[in-house]
Amino acid sequence: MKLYEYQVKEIFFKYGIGIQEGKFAKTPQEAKQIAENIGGSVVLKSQVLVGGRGKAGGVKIVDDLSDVEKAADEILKTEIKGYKPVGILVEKKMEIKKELYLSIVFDRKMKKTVIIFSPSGGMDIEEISKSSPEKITKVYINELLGLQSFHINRLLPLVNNDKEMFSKLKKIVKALYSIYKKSDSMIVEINPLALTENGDLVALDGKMEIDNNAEYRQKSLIDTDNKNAEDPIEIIGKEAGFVVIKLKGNISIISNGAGLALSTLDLLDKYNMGVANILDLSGGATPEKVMRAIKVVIQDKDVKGILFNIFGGITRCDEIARGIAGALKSIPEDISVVCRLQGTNRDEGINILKGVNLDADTDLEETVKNIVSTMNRG
Amino acid sequence: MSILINEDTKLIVQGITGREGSYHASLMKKYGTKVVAGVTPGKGGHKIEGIPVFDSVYEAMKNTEANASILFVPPRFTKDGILEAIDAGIELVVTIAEGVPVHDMLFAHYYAQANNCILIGPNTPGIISPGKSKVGFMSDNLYKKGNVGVMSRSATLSYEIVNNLSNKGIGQSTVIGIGGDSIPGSSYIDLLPLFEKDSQTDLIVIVGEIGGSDEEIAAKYIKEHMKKPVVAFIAGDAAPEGKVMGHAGAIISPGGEGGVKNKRKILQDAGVHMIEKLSEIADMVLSIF
Repeated sequence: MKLYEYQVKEIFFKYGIGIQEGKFAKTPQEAKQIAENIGGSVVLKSQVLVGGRGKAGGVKIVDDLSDVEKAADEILKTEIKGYKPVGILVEKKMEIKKELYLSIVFDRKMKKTVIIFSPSGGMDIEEISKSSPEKITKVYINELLGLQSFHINRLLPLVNNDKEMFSKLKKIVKALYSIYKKSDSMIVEINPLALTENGDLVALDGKMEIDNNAEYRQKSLIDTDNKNAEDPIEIIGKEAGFVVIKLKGNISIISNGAGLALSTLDLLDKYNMGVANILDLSGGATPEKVMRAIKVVIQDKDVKGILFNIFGGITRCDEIARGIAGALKSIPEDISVVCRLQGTNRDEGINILKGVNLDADTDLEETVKNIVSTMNRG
Repeated sequence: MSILINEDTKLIVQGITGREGSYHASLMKKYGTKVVAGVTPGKGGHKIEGIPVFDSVYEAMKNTEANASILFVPPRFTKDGILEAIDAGIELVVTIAEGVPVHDMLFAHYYAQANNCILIGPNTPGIISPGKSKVGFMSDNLYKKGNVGVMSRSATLSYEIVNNLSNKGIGQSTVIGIGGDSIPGSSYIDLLPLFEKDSQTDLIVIVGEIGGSDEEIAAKYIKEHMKKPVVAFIAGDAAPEGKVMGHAGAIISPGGEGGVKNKRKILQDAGVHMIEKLSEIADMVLSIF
């Protein structure tokens, strides 16, 4: 779950990381009020969860207070890569001497936390790593040790042993690490970290992503707005307690495991059939849960067919079949349903489905061929 | 021999008084696993299916000769449960829960490593050495004793693979669900050496999926150290970039890293026999033997 810049900066402020004077506005009028309170030139920044907003017209510098409302209105109306902004961050414009880069990231490949620092920030870190890899330092942290001073000391050469600046940087790295740990972050990034004319370090922009699995203990950080970045059907699914993935196509795959769903997707792809969405029932689904799942996927207007792929382990095929049978009447007639049942209580499940005139196969490829021919006919 | 678990495995079930815990404790016992103790704080002194329940793993260790533990506890209590088991001296910990926070697993992974404990999971169906012992919740009638070792990130795909193998008369030495999370307690690379050494195992099957680099890391190890043949399947060919595909671990980053094609190529270059469809597994194995 990604956080908006204004949310990130509120967290930075709490942990003592320098930010510009500013405030979040939902309307042009609010933006004007904030700009008036700040005084002087301001920067208006579109609040979206995708990158590249600068190039897309989502950032404007406004010198004259009378122009703020119009500029704010334009930003609020500008979609960035298909996403509508949730508001505007109005900040005091700042004169800066130099832009740096700092982040703390969970590196999945190394299975470690890493501090990434570069004395030349501002642009995308991937671009820096391509154009001048020598300007990036990565410091890996042993999880059992946690962040220690010696980790941070390795950044000293990159600031040309400037002791005064280094002590400020050290404070920020420590604060950023606390944020990373306490908020279950996958990434906390300051880019650019600006060096101002009077030698202060200020976070001009901030990004954070919270581990979805830790949402339950990070509720205070997450606003309903953060869910905007997901597809409506994914949100409906989440509210019903499922992981739903929205894709492009007409078939909905309901399965009892992520791996199984993935390989079903692959197989359908081999037959040139697109998938509208994937719903993972996870292990141990009850008939009620199956009925709830069906209710979710039929709300996706793209769906013209539902393919159940169940390989029972902890999940019992008879329970799944009972759910399908129970929800069959609620499925619109133009949506075809095919089922593949295998594993625990397979035969009981197949019999239950026979009772409602639904044939179930035990073989996945046969089932896929079945839905392909049904859909092509329809 | 099989790896990780066998007839001598003496198991503790943490969370034994819960719905899943008690149900699967009895199924594991029925299969032949020596379930010697259960643990649920506050429920010490009770018995579940004839299995004595203790308040802590320490108590269970004092009163039994347990050497392995399986956790049927919710994700938010998983870290504590793993650390308790390791701290009490358990050598093999299997954790079932799906959705354990990354930072919790990050610590547990390294704590297990530092204490020479093999941690399997989270988000796994467990381990089975057919005919000997089952530490998990898989439907055991699919499995057959034999000489193929299996490691899978996905539970359901391991069922597919095993079903196909067993139907064609090919048995398994040990089948391990390494789990679908970003930080598995153990990965292919940790388990490959055990299979290579195991006298019962003649061939190893890897069931991978998009995301992460564990298959790529395994490929390097296979190329340099493995004499036994390895067969692999990678799911997620048709997955779009940048989307988390159900498993927290299954995400393909823009640019193709973690992608199926990349993984396939690297494994193939390492001499691994690749299959395109799950249904091809038994025929591939038979063609190698």
